[in-house]
Amino acid sequence: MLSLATKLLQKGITLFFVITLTFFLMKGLPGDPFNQEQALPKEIYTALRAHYGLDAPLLNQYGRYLKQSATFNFGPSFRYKELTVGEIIQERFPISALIGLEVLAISLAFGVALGAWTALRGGEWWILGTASLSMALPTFVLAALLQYFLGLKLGWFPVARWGTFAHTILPALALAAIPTAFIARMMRSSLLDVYKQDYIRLARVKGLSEKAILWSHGLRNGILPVLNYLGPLSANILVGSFAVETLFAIPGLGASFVTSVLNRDYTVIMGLTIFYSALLLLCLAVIDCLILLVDPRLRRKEVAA
Amino acid sequence: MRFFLCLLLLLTGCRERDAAVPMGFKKGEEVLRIASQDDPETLDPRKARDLTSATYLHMLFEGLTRIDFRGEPIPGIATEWEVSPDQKRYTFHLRESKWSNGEPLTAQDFVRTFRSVLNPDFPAPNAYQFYLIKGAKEAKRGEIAVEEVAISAPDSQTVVMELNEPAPFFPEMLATHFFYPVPERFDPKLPVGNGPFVFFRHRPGYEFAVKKNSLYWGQGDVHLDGVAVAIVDNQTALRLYENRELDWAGSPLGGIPQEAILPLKRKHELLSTAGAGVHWLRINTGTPPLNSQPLREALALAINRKELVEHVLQGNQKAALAVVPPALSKHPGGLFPDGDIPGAWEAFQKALLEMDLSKDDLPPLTLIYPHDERTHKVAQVLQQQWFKAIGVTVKLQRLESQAYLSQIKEGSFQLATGSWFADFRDPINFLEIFKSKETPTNATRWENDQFADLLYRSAKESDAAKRLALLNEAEKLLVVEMPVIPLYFANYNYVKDLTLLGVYFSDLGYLDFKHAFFSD
Repeated sequence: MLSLATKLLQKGITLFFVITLTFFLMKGLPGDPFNQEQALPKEIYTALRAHYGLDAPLLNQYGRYLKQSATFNFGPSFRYKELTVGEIIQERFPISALIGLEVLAISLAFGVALGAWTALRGGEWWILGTASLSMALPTFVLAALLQYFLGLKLGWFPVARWGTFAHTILPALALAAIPTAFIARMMRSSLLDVYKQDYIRLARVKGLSEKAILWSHGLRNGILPVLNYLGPLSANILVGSFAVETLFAIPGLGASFVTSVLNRDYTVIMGLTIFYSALLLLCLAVIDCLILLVDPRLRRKEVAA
Repeated sequence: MRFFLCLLLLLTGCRERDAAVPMGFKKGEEVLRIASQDDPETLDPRKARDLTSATYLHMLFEGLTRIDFRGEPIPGIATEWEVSPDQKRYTFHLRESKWSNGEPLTAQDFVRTFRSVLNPDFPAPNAYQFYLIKGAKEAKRGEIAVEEVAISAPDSQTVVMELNEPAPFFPEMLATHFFYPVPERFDPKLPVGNGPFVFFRHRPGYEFAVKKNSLYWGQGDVHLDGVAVAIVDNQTALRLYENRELDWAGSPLGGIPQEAILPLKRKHELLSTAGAGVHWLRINTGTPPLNSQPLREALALAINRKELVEHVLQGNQKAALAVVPPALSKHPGGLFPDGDIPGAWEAFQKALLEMDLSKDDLPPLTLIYPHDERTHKVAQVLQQQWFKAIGVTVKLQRLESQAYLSQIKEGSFQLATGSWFADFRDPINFLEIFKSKETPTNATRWENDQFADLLYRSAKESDAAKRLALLNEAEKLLVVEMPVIPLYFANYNYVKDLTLLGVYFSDLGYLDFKHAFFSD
């Protein structure tokens, strides 16, 4: 129980550093939300800055952001004046998350299966070749290809936009390619490693069937590196991708990360950073639990400590 | 990637409109489906700043006047107006009209809206557009009360405004979104308007839709049942257009990607409308060596704009040999020659003599520009042309757009790309920026007493022809002094369904769907 509290405290401190660092980096960027080609007369510019509280000393602004971060109430976006940061995340995150879950499901299922297959049945060169190739192919190129051929030419899927399950398929496929290939390669090398271990030989000596060895020893040990990789991956995938969401015109959260910085939309930048960090920490925590579940050795160590 | 997308565009054949209606509209209703690169920043006309919002707001609101298809002001909410003999006092007579929630629209609505814009505490970025009205500037600066500004409503159907100086463009200016009225309790999330269309729904990042406003005074002229704006990236917009899910893609709500221009041109699908804007180079005239007028002239003459427009931009733009776009000016030709290499040489030698430098001692100049594909190409061509024509080395510095803007603002640049678009159709838009080096948009550190005097006299002039002549004079002075080097006049490129007719594409960069219809 104590260790859980320390862990939470650690995460809280991490979050605080992220907030602080983001705030000062953001303020260090040249420009502000009201800079445009058509410059504003001085009195209007100062009135706007005052209205949005940007005329206050930096430390006061920092204090205000800390308070806003604690309550997660950042107020309206500087650019889209009728939307609050909370509304933007509420509206957009579920969309990105839905695609993200599809991507995770696809890449885990196919990645683990392909990895195990190539490790056990040996050298299916074309599977590994395809995997390497799909890792080399940038996601946005793959997405454009899928959109053009499966969407526009063959008409099997909607070209772009959002609304039905069919709209999620092409973006999910485009996003799943790289993680699938990565997981497959990781799974393969880790399984090959595991099968060289003594406990596999022991299992064989005990007379366990190959199937039983794979399920209770092989996969269980082999999947550990994949799980470790899954933590940061899921946070990344769940918040959406700028390139793919832009290409498929999906109103997800991915594009907001980039556009908020380009627009110097301070409140949105801060809100998204905290949201993302919290999500990442949550994903890491979930993965930690999963690993404990999968690996009894760690549980024992935990108890001993 | 670029090459690849180009190839994909070439492979695609022609299209036919598919009449599927967007969600929420009934089958058989005429709905225009158009792409936009971005959401409206706001649906409160007092707070909107970007050009995209102008098209959105144009559907929902109408000012005292509106603009007809020739670009001339015609009656909007005001049926007629009178001007006092000194051209300073305007009296507008309003028609009986209603807000989209059924409440009557009165002169007080206009007065109250205009006063709120001029309230020093209200975040209205466009408040300076009101500064030609007597007392407006003082009120915004908090020097007088907003009630003292010369805007009044003697009765519920009359608005009276008094100007500081004669302004023949005033009725036209009143048609812009800066001067739209908003109802008393205005919620920009569910905006009540008075325009040809009424707000239907907005899903940020996805769609913005309006329906025909049955309470609009001119609703008999409105043929569309609705407009659905799909918020999609420019590249994707073209795909959806090819797939017949959109009727319009490209400018002014988005743009045609540079690499798609040529393929679309070959298919004879690319349409263009001249814009009331100019792309130019700003020069920081405050520091040597660019404080030398002959050097600026040499740089201006050395540029071959024809080559730039025809071989690089390729989007039917026109070379700019003046500052004011042809649609707003009286000089259809140019005020200086294009790609005049001998002239550039001569000016350059004069500059070197004046500065007492040899050609090799001239330090390399730096050109800053924002990070986009088109400007990047333009900058590279300029660099080459300058080097070839007069042997001047110019270093290119590509910056993230906010960094670029803040360097201009701080004046820490030598040469910078830029552009300027008119807010209303009058040459003064392009000239008054240079009235003083204190004007925030000037940024060139250039000012000139003779120029300021010409503008001052034009403002006092109540004879329209004489006023234009004075402005023309001022422009000639500007291109001799060259604090900015004009490159090319703006042009809007787009594709649209051929059966869609009656959309007014203003050279100010907005669309008016009031009279739009499908011809099938």
